[in-house]
Amino acid sequence: MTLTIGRSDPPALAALQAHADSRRRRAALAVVGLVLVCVLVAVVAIGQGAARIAPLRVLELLHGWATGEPAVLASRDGLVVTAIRLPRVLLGLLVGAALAVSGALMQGLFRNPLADPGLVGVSSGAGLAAAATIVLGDRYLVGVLGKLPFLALPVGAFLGGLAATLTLYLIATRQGRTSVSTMLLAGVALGALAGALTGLLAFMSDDRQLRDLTFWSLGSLGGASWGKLAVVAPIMLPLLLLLPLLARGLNALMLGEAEAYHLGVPVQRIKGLAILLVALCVGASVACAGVIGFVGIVVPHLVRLLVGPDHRLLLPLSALGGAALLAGADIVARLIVAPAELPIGIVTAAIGAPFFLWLLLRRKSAFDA
Amino acid sequence: MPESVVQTLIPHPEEPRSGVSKDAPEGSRGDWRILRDAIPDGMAPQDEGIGDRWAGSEIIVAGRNLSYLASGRALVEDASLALGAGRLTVLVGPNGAGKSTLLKLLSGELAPAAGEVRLGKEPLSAVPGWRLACRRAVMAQQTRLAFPFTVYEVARLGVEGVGRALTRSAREALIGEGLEAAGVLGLAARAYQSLSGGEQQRVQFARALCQLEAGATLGDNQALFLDEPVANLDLCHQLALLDRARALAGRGVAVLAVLHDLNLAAACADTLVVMDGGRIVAHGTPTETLNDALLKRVFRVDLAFGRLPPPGLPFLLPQQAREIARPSAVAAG
Repeated sequence: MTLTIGRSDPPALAALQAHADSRRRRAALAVVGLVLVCVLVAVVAIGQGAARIAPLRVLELLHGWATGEPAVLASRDGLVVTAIRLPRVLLGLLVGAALAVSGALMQGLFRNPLADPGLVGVSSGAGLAAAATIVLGDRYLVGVLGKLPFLALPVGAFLGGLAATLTLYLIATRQGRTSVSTMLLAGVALGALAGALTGLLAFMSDDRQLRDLTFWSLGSLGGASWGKLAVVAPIMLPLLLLLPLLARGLNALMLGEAEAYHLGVPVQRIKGLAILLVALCVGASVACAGVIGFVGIVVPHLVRLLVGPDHRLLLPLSALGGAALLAGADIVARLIVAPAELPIGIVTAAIGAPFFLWLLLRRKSAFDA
Repeated sequence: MPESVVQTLIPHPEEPRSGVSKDAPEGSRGDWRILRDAIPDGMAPQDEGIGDRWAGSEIIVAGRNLSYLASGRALVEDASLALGAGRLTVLVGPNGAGKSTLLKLLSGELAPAAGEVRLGKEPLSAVPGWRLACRRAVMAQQTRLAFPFTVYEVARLGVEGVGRALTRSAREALIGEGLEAAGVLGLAARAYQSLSGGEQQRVQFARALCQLEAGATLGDNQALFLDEPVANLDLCHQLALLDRARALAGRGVAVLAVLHDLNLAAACADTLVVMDGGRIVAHGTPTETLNDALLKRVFRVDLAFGRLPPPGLPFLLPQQAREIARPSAVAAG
């Protein structure tokens, strides 16, 4: 080719090749490692609880359940695993993946490592909508929804997340440029506003509603059931499968919107799709597990430390990492004050916040804009 | 020295080149020839007709009567400019003259309020983004990244979309060549954020080169837009980068560069376009366009071309670049 008019430099070319190869090796290792971690956490999570079941026995029971062995379904352990723990672990994996991916998407969209659905108010928007559904739903929505109240919460939370995401984006974007500082400040303001309104709703609520509200604001996987999973999984799984479509576009967006356009990326379409995915994922997560913080910010950071910021790896690996983290946090939430349960949001914040601070102190350069 | 300015800057005027010299990229290397073949005076700003060919070369991008408004103020007004294949067009002018805006209009980043930009025979606005990306690359003034991409990954962004059809090894070879041509191959594994401003700029140049080269596998008639490409570079790399731009022009790429250094502009431009207050005020070869009156009128400095400073004051002219060690030899370090 005619491009190379400088002197050829074989050692540097070899170093480039080595760099590309080492990146690929790390990526492959990270994928395999995180899949293993996910499986391990899931098996441990299924085994832990009031009735302890050894990991091998868990695998045996799962195998029996998958092949439809009647002996498994009839046994006590079998029932515990298939009716209670399996849907809970699966929900944890799914919600964790959705939250981590939402964080990675937001950070890519705003080109800022601090963006997170929790930090910028999207979760609070979804939480407010969920709270409104809980407190006001009994009064105003019964007539509308009749016997389908279980739909009101996910739909409400989803709409709340979408409204918050759109508001944020519109406020922070002027003439096609998204101002990062405006976005963060607006997110804080939106979060505060949503918090105040949620407080107002708490003030208006009765005892039962108040307990439900507390549950939503701190998050829990306690309400997991096959029925809930059947509602959430068809929303989240296709979204997670859509991610590869966004990866290349988000990579180009890292250079800036104009540069992404020059590289042939349909910028507006990528942005719109990313916003929609975040709203759907966060809305659905909040609807079935309440507001759970820090997964969206810690996991993508960890993945970037492992394999770098390429979204083609970052998005799927964040999903795996988030799944493992939330399922793992649920183990802690169930065991630490057994037989009672800690809200899982407390656990993720207790793990996530110190970890995040440690990251900040250790790798200052990764956070410099 | 009242007579020709520019000529005094050239120690050895050489044979004029004719049009596009696709066959001789090697010959254009390091040639800081000033004396270009005379360009037919067909592109005055008020000129209405832009044909398919101009100055003996095919027109790749052409803007006609372009205007652009921002909050009621005209940043570009009635500007017409054609970028010919194999030509390095340099845009100069004082701050706020509308150079970057005109470049953005021609590259498609901004849509003109009036007038039309064409890519070949098609209106630019009708060309889909991915096809446009194969035809032209843009290097912006400064690009910062919020995430720790390595230099290799930044250059790879240039081929990820455009070079989708290439094999992985072909893409990687291309990235290596791009990095090498921009003199940043040795930085490949470094984090982009940790580089100096000038190094970052060279990496962005490498990315643009990669995009062009990947796009070249799908067709020719390409254009390269460089917005102040040498702003943060040391002298050696300024010359090296413009050398590369010249070499690309030698292969038939239409290059448009915004420069501030009139010496550099005069040394490397086939066509010099002078802007002031959003309008194109002069257009032609450096010899035709640069004169003392223009300096005073447009740049508001009372200086004379070709006049030597008082004895004892060191001065340096980039036109002597042939006598400087070839930048490519030291660039990779």
